[in-house]
Amino acid sequence: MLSPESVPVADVEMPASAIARGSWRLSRDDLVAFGERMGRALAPPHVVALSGDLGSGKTTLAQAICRGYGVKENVTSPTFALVHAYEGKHSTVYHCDLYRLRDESELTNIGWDDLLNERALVLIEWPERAGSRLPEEVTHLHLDHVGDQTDVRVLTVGLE
Amino acid sequence: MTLVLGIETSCDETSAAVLEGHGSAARVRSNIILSQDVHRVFGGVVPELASRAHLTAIVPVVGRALDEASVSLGDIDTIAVTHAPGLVGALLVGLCYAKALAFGAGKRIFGVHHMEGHLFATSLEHPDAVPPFTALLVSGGHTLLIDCPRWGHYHLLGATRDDAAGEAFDKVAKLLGLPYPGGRPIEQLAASGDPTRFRFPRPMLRRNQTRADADYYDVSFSGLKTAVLLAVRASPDMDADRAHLARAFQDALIETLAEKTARAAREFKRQRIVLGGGVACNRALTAAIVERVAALGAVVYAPSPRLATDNAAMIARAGLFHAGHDAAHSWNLNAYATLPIPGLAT
Repeated sequence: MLSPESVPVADVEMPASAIARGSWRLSRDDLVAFGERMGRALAPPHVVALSGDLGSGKTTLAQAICRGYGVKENVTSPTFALVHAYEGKHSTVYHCDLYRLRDESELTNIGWDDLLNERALVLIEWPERAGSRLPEEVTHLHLDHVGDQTDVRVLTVGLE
Repeated sequence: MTLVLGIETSCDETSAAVLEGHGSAARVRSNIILSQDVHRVFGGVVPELASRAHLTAIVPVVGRALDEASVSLGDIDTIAVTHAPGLVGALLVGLCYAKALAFGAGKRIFGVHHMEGHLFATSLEHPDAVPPFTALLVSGGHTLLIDCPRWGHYHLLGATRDDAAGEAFDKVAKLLGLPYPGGRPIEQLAASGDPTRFRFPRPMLRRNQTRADADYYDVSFSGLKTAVLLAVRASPDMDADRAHLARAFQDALIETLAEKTARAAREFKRQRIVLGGGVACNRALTAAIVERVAALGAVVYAPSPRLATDNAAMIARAGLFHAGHDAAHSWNLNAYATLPIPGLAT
């Protein structure tokens, strides 16, 4: 994976398509614009894994993807509830947050297998906590901080 | 006298309670909350439970609630069960069990909205915590500002745009290297912090805000979390700064919540402020709200920890209200991940 430092500062253009692979240094506005564009392009069933540290912008990105996908409601952090469900233009959206999971056996109690078998858009924050139960066909989005810059993130798409 | 059995399984907790109602007065006969009462529920041999193991716990938890209330299922008049919002799989365990009990024993069943339960919770300890009031519900999963002119009628004024207040406490505790859940450790540490050392932005709080602004009553804590993160990264000596950072975070969050609550009390001319949810146990929050509404002559009511967190007594209390005002639900009653609070004015 590209390290944040290896991304040229001048390279601020957005990923060309939702499934383009690579790393981009983005402002918050760029990140939101990318998420909305990706949301408009997605068709169900589709699983998106959103990884990155606390405060790296995962929920902001998930909110933008939902907006692009046609979700009208206010999309909030699902950390406590573990799963939030919304109605998008093409299907239900399940916004999962596995932060509070202690191990992957707890996935059964939150209806994991059911929601992954639906024709839905599934957004998963803290996907690494799903371990081997993360499906194989997943679009990976990873967010990194850049030093102490509040408004810049490095987004990595499609790389494990 | 009406005896209500309440059942709550909307997220982490398996809880059951028996409530004795006399008109609008109510007395909690039992209130079993699995995470706090696991030894009383299972006796000497506590099984190894996964989180949200409602299916394993529901039968012994309900049994214990009936035992501690010294009643049998036959004595119960009404069963109240949380049917929204929450994890559908978790809600369904409580709902299906409640329906089966009600069907088998010939009882009426009422589905209760979890957040309406929180609105009723404080009145179980404070008989004056009844409408009309301004309510601030602050927990790990919710941050809601509600005006309640009378039971069953609610105006949703504001909510979080991203992270709930309790979630912000938990995640900032993690950033500061404090244990989970983070509410109490941050409150304790913040008490010794210097409020002038750091200052974080007050999200969605501006001096010149008016009622016409979309964020007049809403809150947002995600940016505050990121601000703490960057301050932690910039700190040369976390052992020296930890308490000051906890203080600055707590001050920012509390000032926002207290000001928005006071705005609501002013606009609707309420003399009572009712708090609910786990964050309502934070004494600095309560004190800040008391101070801000003092000029209005308003009184602030906060629940004890057992009734602040998710529990079935509050579900039984809301069920008691509906049993006195509405027809019982049919056997078609279903569980919903999201659902507006009944009686919500738009």
